[in-house]
Amino acid sequence: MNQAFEKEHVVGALGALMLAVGCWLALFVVPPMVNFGDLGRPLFIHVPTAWASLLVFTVAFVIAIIALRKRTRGWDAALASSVEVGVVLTALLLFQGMFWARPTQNFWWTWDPRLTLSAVMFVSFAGVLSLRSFAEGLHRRIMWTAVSTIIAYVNVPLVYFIVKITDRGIHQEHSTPQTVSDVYHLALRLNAFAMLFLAYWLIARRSRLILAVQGGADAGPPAPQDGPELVAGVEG
Amino acid sequence: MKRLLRQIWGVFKKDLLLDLRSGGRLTAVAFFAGMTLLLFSFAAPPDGISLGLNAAGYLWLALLLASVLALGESFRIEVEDEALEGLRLLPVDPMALYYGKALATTTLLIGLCVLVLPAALVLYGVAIKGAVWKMIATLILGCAGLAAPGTLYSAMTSRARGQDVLLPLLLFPLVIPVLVSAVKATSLLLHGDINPGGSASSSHLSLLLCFDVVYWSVCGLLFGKVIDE
Amino acid sequence: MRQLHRQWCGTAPLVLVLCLGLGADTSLAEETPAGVETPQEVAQQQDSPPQVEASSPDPTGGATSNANAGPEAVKPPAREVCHDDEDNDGDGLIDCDDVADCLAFATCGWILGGWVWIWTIFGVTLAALILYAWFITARLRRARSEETPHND
Repeated sequence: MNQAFEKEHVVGALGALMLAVGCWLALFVVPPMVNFGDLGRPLFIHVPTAWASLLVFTVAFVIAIIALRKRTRGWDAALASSVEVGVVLTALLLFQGMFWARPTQNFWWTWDPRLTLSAVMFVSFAGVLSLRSFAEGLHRRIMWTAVSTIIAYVNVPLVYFIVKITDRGIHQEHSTPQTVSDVYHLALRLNAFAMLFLAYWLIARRSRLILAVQGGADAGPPAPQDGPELVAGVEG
Repeated sequence: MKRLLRQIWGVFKKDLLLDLRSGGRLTAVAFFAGMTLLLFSFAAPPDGISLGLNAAGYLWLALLLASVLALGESFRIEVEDEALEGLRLLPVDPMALYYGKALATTTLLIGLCVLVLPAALVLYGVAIKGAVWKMIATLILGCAGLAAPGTLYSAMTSRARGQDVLLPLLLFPLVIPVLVSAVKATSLLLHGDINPGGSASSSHLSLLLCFDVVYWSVCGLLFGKVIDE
Repeated sequence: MRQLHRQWCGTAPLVLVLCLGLGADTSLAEETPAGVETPQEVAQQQDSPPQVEASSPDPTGGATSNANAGPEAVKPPAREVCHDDEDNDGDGLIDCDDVADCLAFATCGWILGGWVWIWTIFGVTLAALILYAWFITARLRRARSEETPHND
């Protein structure tokens, strides 16, 4: 690689390290949970994945609004990559949920409101990606991706707040540091930030890939400068 | 504001007129919805009980499937002869274009409801137990909730390759909340409310109204971006 | 001016939605009143929402739910819900103690070695992330090294 060192690698490496430590803590150090025993351990990765996916979709929503106004290649790439990373995280989230529900509650899938809405979220953002692949021309692609992202985002706050609105199914009410025992904080926090950092790294790399693949085609304005701007979006 | 309303009315009238003049298309959509209702009755065990229990769900699914057909058609004629380009050349606000078209689609779907609901009541052996005005409100709000994102998305997909796959793919996940609340409200109205005074169906109705307002405002704002090229 | 008016058209309904959302929030919450009840009442209350579930299957397939809402709802005698710290069926046995109802529950009996599940969840998640990262990196490297670009 004759490329200059790109800054997002710092964040990515930090994220990977934190995820490794967090998973080690969750698997070997943290004592078994009261209600679930050892089967509570997957929550240390399930919950951070959920947070990260909701946040990544929120970032995608913000980027979509910006992309509607500034129709540049850079924002288009950032938008598409954040939607894609969000979809990947949601897929992982659903997988973890299924593989956790099977041993603890004896079913793979249930129509719990939050679970159903997460699946809806997954499908609607996956739809955005497929719409994107069908759109021709840069302008149309930006517009369609942004518009459909904004509309698909309507469900996301609902996923977050649904446990407050309806009676809880398999997902419990929002936990706060007061409701979670002290020993679990570190593992949960580490994994949460690790997921965020990794998501940022993935988004940044994916946008660079999109730009590299497209940019060569018609030598548009190279806009990797959008990468650093993203930092504020992800962490803010 | 007055100008916007007049423009909306103009687009609305134009769309409905087109729908009415091409009577065959309307009848085809209506028959499609009726046929779907009939098909659903083969999907359930032939005891009549489960059919009655699921009547609300079948009714809304039939409407949803028919709405996809109607939406695809409504934009196909716009795209076919570059009619949309012509419309955009006129000094018409894209918002007016959107609301006019969405209202026309809603009206079309409500018309479909008027035909399909009695058929569903007869086929599935149920009757409306709740308040009739609530039933009407559910139908209107549900149709509006299906039409709003549908109009926006069919404006996009009608000009893309693979539109037949894309429209349902994008639309169905989006209307799930609308569908769920409409089905719950309808079901409560068909089978009797669990709460005294019908408060359960009212809360589902207000949820439906929420989604309608969100979709109608957001889609209206975004429509200009979609057709403005 | 016209621009401003148009934006107002869009934002005003959103404010309205927030108000409506709060309204829906409270009215939905009223459906399942919270509070301390006797086991019998708890059992009845847990029965009543599923009965609606049975009469109003949502299109996403609520009717086929095999969760603790489905089959129990049809027959009045409640079954123990094995993970909620409550005596749902009123026989004095809580959660896993109610062996008759909860034998099949993995938390009560660890049917399949629990660590297999835990390792699967962690392993697949990490592997998927690594794979995705590798996929991006490899394609990025190829795209950058290629002098003749192609369209995605």
